[in-house]
Amino acid sequence: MRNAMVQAPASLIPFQFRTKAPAPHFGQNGQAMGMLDMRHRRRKAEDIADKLPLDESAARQTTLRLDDHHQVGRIRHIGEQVDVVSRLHLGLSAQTARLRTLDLLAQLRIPEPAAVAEAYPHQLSGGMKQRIVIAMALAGEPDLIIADEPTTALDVTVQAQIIQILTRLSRDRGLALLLITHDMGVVAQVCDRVAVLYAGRIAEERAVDPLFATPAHPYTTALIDCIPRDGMTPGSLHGIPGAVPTSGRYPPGCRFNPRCASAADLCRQERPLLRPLHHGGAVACHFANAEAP
Amino acid sequence: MSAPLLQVEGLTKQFHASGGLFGRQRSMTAVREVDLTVGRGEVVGVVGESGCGKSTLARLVLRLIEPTAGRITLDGTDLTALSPAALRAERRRMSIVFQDPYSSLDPRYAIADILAEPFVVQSRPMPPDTVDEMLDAVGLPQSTAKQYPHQLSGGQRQRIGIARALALRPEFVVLDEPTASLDVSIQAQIIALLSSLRDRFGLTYLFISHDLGLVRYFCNRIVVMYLGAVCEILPNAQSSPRHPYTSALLASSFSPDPSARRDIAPLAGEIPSPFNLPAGCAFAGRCPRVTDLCRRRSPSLVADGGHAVACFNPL
Repeated sequence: MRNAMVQAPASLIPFQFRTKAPAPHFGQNGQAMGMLDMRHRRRKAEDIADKLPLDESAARQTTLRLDDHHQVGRIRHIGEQVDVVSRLHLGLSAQTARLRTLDLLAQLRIPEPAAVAEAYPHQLSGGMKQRIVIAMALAGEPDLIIADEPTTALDVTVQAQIIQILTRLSRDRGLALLLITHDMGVVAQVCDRVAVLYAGRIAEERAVDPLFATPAHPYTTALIDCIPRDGMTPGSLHGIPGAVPTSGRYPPGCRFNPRCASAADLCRQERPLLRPLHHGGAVACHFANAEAP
Repeated sequence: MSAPLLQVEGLTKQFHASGGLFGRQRSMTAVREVDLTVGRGEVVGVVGESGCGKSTLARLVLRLIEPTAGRITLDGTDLTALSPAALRAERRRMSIVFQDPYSSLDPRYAIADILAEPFVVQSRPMPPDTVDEMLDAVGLPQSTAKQYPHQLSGGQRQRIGIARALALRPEFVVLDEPTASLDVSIQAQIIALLSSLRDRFGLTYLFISHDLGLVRYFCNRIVVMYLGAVCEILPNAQSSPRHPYTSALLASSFSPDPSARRDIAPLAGEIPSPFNLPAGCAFAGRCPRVTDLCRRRSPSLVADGGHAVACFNPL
């Protein structure tokens, strides 16, 4: 469902993005995200790609979409795949695009950028490929990067490297980062604001500190309790009973009600709407305390 | 520690890869001279990143694959010296739960048949009600017996995998990343189930995982592997790491607590290819405490009390 959310962001109207610098492509002052803009940009990119003898899939993914390292096309040099992005989005010549690519690779601490640019993807490790995908995402000078489980397939020490790169980028360049992840540890380390998604709906949307300190939705509480932490007493980890419903078989009312410890009749009948909390954020639960800190 | 149930000495496994038509054959050592003891009733965790040999070790200790060298003893019986028939008899006492509950269950078998299969393999009569009892033990309704794997969710399938592993009432169970392909809310359910089953049936676990947080929660002792060799054995979940790699692993896993947010100082570089191992300590290329000695000689595992570490400059 998290991935579907990236693929259909139009349904995400209440969720707003703010870049630290003015962001013409996504609406001024944090209006609802300019999905049409993005679609338009994407189509434009595809049009150009059709006219160019270039790897079309490479052109597509450059539209601010960052995905796992399988996104790297197989039969083009790394360099070409990064070049195409700045050629399409910034209209650079092949030569300038390559210089820019080498510069980006160096910024991402890729050893020997010139050699890597001439390499094929299968010659690189998973962590290195993920850096290449980040380079592609950056090459078009985006304001927003959507990172869809960017570290899920990676080992923890490499994950830490990629997370460091992403946080540094968002800090230094004022990039907005939409991080899709199942890893609450990564969320706690990286994010300012969090939307907790359950079965296709936002259960809770808060700043990161209050979300972890005083979760308002029973699902958020249960989810945080599923993660083993230091000093937890053995036997205190229970999980959430039941399983996530498959799409098309959602229960009526609140979609979390069959797994919720505090579900009442109202939850089985009526869908709770996302309502604002007094101290910021929003929650979709009939029984959440709106006054919570 | 109670009397050892499983003892592993000098266990080594080499794999050979063909170098293509004209290439030279290359070999890699997936597991290198591993010594390991698991006491009865213990939960021993094996952690490490991909390619460190933890899954190969899991298969070796059950002799699902043949070791190149070394000895595996289960409760005094040398498994490496057994004939195939004797090994099969001994297999009743040990089993494994695999990582992927999708590919480890035969899609054409009904659940009842999957749970009866261990008895078929062992040519033993299945006591009546076994299927119902096993389903009950893993928290599934008895109606599941008639279903097929594709009708179950990932968490339910993994429960079937666990029920199958326990069908013959083994003493020793290898858990090879049993929750790696599950959602975090289901992972916690399965871990809770595994610990209640351990109490109920008096099981001993060897728990393979890449998740240090999970291992620290679930295990009594922790074995850390890097590129096929054991680099540290932590006597309990709270003991602080002495090997720089273990310490880096800990520093790389993020706590689900925004107030614990910190500057990340990731390890440089990546795991070297096992076909091209550097001389000396395998971790030398990424180690912040590296000295000349580390590049020349490989440190051996030295125990100090229950805490063993293979490092010339431990923390």
